[in-house]
Amino acid sequence: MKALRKKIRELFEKGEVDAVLGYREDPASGEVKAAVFKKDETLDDMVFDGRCIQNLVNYLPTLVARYRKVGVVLKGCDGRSLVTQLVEHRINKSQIIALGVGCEGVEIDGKEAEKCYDCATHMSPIADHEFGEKGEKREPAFAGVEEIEKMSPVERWKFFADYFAKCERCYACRQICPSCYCEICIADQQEPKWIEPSAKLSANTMWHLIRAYHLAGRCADCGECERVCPQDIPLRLLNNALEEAVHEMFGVRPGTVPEEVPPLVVLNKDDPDRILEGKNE
Amino acid sequence: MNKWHRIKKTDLQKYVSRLAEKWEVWVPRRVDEKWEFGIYDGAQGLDLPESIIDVSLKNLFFPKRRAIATYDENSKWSMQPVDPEQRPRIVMGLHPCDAAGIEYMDRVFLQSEHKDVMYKKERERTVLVGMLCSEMGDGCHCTDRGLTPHSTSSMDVAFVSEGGWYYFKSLTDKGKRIMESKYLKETDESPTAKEWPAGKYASASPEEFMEMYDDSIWHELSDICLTCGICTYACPTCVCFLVTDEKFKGKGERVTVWDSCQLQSYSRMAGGQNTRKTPASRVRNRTLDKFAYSHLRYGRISCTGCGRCVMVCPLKRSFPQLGARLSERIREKKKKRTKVRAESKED
Ligand code: SF4
Ligand code: SF4
Ligand code: SF4
Ligand code: SF4
Ligand code: SF4
Repeated sequence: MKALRKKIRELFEKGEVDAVLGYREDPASGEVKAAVFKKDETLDDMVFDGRCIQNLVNYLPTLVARYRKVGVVLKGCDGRSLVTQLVEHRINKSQIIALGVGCEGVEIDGKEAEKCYDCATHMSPIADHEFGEKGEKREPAFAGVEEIEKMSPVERWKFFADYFAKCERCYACRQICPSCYCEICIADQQEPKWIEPSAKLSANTMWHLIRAYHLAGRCADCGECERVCPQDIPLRLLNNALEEAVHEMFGVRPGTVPEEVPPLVVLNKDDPDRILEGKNE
Repeated sequence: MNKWHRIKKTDLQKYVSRLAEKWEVWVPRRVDEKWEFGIYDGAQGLDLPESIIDVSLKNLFFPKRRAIATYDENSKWSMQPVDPEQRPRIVMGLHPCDAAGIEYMDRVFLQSEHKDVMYKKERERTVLVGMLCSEMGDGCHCTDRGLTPHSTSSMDVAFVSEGGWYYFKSLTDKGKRIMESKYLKETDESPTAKEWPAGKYASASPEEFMEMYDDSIWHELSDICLTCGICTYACPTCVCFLVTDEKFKGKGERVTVWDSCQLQSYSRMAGGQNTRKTPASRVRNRTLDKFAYSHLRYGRISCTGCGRCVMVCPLKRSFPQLGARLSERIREKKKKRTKVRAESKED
């Protein structure tokens, strides 16, 4: 933490950043929230620990529009998230100073967050400066997905239908997701109306399946969608299952390797699927 | 003046079971850790929370999804209005802030220019049996919004828990109809009147809030807001909806579905323009709608101080604190202005 603060001060002094996005502990309430730190502002209340759960990358597009250069404090998963934004050209790396901090896991309601059991990298895969323990990269186990795969199709449908039926269609999951940034979300399109706006099982199922597909090979498993869902719908299960599928087919885990383009957005003439030639075999 | 009646707490379930023979009775029930209203069926027992119920009863009068007409594309002129439910019902155990929410919805759906037929029928078939709160919950701030935990507006019957008894009083003719029961006995005793702590959040007047329309503070106030829709869905006085058609194999329903000014799709118009593109403009709309527009259009501010928006917010953003911050800014501005005026007089 000391090293991080020192570095940030140095960056401000050298004029290498105009603002730093990090975590701040509110001295009055003790709550830890995302905060933008500027030159000459105190860094004393900047923190990095198990309470720093929020993925800050979601705020970057707004900040880079306001500031020339922005520093950002990153956990491992947030770093993956940043990579996904960079390879999709949503943010330009020249505007970002990535401050990777070795993460030992974060907590939700006093318990280690589930995503942390499946953490692929404790250190941001992209970092201009690294702090703390780097840790090992590893393959996530996705125990939850395994459980689902053991179920019969009927059981699986029942499992998900019970959750989907509860969805309020508040779109908190979409709003917090760095990778959900369509100007007009498919759920908001009226003509044609791909997804009915009412919160009922059929429409909710469409919403969840389409969202999951749109994030296949792009979701960095930051777990934010699941965390903010007011109905506690286990959204990571869907994203993780697709992460596994993409990994199996293309050997890619989103965001773990800087500059690796998501497989579902590249055209490759050697693609075994002949659909591009008009032959769908 | 109607007299107090009382019923032994241990008899309440018998009384309600009796009512349920003739009426559809809605009571608070626990579903997955949360309290919400459901139809009383006897099997679950009866337990009435003495303060805020997690899910508001807005859905009972103005449902999330509501079919208003049906049609069949294969036959011409087949649009048929949906018959509203007529069975008389009792909603028991709602608290003053929810009753105030209904009072506000009445103003919007019944007393304004456009009457909502479906809402009217839901209201007509319902007897509201409100429970006065014995305590204030953590997020409760009704006392900041012109109410108290013992306000009775919109209730047909009010009751309150004291010792081993519930004290009931009918407030309308509708209410009288459910008071005739061998379990409810007239009494000369009355429940103790309570003192409630004064409000915690200073609030400016609707007119003063309106003056903040063009202030830059909205950017600060919307800084971390996701602009999702959950706070407005949870709110007992958020009444926006969209009308859409849902059809399957030519047979369709015209439905109204809750909408939210916090969502970017809310203000999107034909041609792709969006009048509330920024989160700041959407947060402003919600805030002013609660504290100013509502007052200007319907004669009362629409926040009832239930605190549900804070409970459900994924980021635990505090709407009452936001209102207080805004009010503080209004005071600062005023002070500056009076100072400037005073100085210019001296000149
Ligand atoms: S956050 Fe949860 S309730 Fe809201 S739309 Fe997403 S899945 Fe549905
Ligand atoms: S889908 Fe969920 S876990 Fe994946 S990047 Fe988006 S918010 Fe994070
Ligand atoms: S806000 Fe007031 S009226 Fe509503 S539940 Fe709390 S104490 Fe009761
Ligand atoms: S629930 Fe919270 S994050 Fe969502 S729109 Fe409301 S205040 Fe913003
Ligand atoms: S704005 Fe919040 S506190 Fe006020 S009535 Fe709505 S949900 Fe309750």
